[in-house]
Amino acid sequence: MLFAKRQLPLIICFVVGVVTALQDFVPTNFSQKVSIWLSDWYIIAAMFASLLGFGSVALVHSGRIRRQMKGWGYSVLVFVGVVAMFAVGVISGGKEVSDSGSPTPLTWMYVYAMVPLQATMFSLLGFYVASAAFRSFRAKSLESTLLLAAALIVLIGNVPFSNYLWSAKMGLTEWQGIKIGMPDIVGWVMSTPNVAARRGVAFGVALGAIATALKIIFGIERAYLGGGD
Amino acid sequence: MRIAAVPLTVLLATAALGQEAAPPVPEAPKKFAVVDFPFDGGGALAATWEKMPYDDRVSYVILSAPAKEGPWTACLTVKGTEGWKSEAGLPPGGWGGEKDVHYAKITKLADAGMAPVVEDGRETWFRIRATLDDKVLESEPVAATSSKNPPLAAVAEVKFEDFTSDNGSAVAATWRAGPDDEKTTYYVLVAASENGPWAVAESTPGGENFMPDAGLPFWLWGRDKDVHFLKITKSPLGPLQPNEDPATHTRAPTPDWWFRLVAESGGSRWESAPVKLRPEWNVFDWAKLNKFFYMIGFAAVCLVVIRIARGRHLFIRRIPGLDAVDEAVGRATEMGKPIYYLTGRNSMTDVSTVAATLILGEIAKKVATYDTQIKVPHTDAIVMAVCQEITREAYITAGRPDAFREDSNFFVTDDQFGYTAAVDGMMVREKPAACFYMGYYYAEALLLAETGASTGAIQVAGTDADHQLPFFVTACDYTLIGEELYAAGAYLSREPVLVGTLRAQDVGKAVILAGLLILTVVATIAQWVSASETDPKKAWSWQEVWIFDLVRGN
Repeated sequence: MLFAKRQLPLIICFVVGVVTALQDFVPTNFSQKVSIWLSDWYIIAAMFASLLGFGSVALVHSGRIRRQMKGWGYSVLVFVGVVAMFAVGVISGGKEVSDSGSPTPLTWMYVYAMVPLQATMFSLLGFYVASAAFRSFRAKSLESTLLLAAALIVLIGNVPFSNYLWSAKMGLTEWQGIKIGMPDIVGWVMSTPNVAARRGVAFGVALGAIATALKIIFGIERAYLGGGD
Repeated sequence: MRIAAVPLTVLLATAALGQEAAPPVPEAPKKFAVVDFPFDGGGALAATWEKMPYDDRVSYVILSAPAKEGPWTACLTVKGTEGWKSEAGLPPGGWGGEKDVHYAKITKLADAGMAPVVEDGRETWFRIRATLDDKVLESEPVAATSSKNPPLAAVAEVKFEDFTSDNGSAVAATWRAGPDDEKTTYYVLVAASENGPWAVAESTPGGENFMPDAGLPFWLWGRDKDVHFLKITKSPLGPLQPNEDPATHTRAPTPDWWFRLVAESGGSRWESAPVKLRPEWNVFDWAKLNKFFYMIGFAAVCLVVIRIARGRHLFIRRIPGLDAVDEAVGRATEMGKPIYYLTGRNSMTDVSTVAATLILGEIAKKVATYDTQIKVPHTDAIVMAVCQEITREAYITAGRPDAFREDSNFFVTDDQFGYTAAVDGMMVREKPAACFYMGYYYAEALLLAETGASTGAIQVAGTDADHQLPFFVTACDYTLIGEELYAAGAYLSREPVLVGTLRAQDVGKAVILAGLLILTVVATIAQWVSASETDPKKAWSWQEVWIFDLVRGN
């Protein structure tokens, strides 16, 4: 039993980890098939896990309804939504377009219920960006002042009118052979200091990810099994 | 009788309406042209003209004359059902393969046994006469002159080789550019047998597609700018490597293919001898040799440092975001409010999600010790299953298995904004004491973090999604940037073995930094040398410096 819970997952993890890492260096069709085969296995496992997910949702919300917790009516709505969508899917035969070419009720529900709901959440982002920017762009220290200056350059630089004022009215296009038009300045900020910082982060992330993967493949890190050492 | 006639009339009227109008007969055969016969030794001309309506009832006669005014003599007769341009058997180049264009080769100037032949350098006039039933249609006269097309100089160093480090689906064709390279067009012909039929697999104008364009690293491939390169993956018959039969999932053996190179310039042509080749699959991708060395090297460094770290104390710099974990858990205990822990939007296949689950284990231990409540809403069912086990084990390790709640990890939805709306709603209603955002996030990052900030919770984020980092930095109290996410598990547990991997990462970063410095110097020198070169063929840019291949992984 202990073998099935501890050693077997470690052995599977080691073998699959090494095979997957080496697979990248073997260009044969068999190697590519192995990769597809492993991906298929993950998809199969994910399908079973989705049942687990639905079970979790049902358990949480049925408990709320049973205990008549505050807001239990919303939990009823969860089940109503699940049953309604399932029923519409069955009625539509799982198709997006009917044989006559018209959208099925399933498509209608998706286009006129799901998409507007998603769009509503996504559109909130614009307001949240504004409020976050308002709090961030305060020149409290040298770093925050630099951030403010860079943000202002990029923000203003992307407005065509600023380019008109900068280049056409003020005549600022070139200085000692260096292009200093507004798009050039914005381009420099985005492609030089910005990319330099992002690459620094990317190096660290790559090494961290490899180190974490190695820890798991070699069984040094076992917490994901549900236990420490 | 009248009743029967009605539907018949309707049928005939419908048929008459549905029938397309008959095309008009043109006044003359269209696009009649006579040109020098390409790629020959002279003494021949090629006539072409467009197919006419009712072509199967047409008879064409080509007339020739020494001058525009005549006298005209019939020199060739062609039936409307024969003589197509696609059947001319001419090689590629300026010659098209249209199936609706007539073609005739003219070698004699009259349709008789002892007729005068086409002479090189002498202008002759031609016109075509088409006879359709009782109508005779004639084109305008055109002039043409035959000439000798001298053979093109042989192309040197023509090679067909199996393309390196692939799955046996490609062949590499290379040859040295000739003196008139810019005026030459090259074709790689492929056939299933030595006797053809040959068809064009790839082509390139001269002055393009050289060896450096192959994108292969220096240890596998030359960088001669005077040697052309083409990668051949298909023939007109299909891919060089047969596709798998979807019914049987078997692949037919790769057949032998025949290749030859054809060079054309003006009306002249040269072709190489046919070469038999079968593309083979390679066991190892030698183009990734540098990556392989990196992988082995970094793994070795990790394992060595871990061995050294056993039983030793290694210094780790302070990470304020992780030091704040105790503060956040303590605050939750004092306030009697829950802690929200999010593992990101990706599945367990993503290393940042794995890192997030490892940190959850450490935080759950503290939560269990302080006897407070943790809530982990999930968007991936597999991650939820893993996190449930990790949380359970953390409570057992902390000596509080009785305090573990099965519903502390729960699935919400795998829809991005559905999940965000649900978690935002829970945060607003429950006003958690602390929120942790670990793992990979997309557009929902700011929606979650701003909502959390509005509830007054202590917020700690950790992500390797560099696009979302600014949002977390803005909205959260502490942010683990990039690699700190991967270091968090080791930092919180303080286990020497795990801390050892952090030191290995530092070694890796030092190597990369040193490499960057060296390459910057090399690039600067290369740029400087290149600027002093006037011949673009000889000039070399920093992209071609071999040492950069090591980093780029080409």
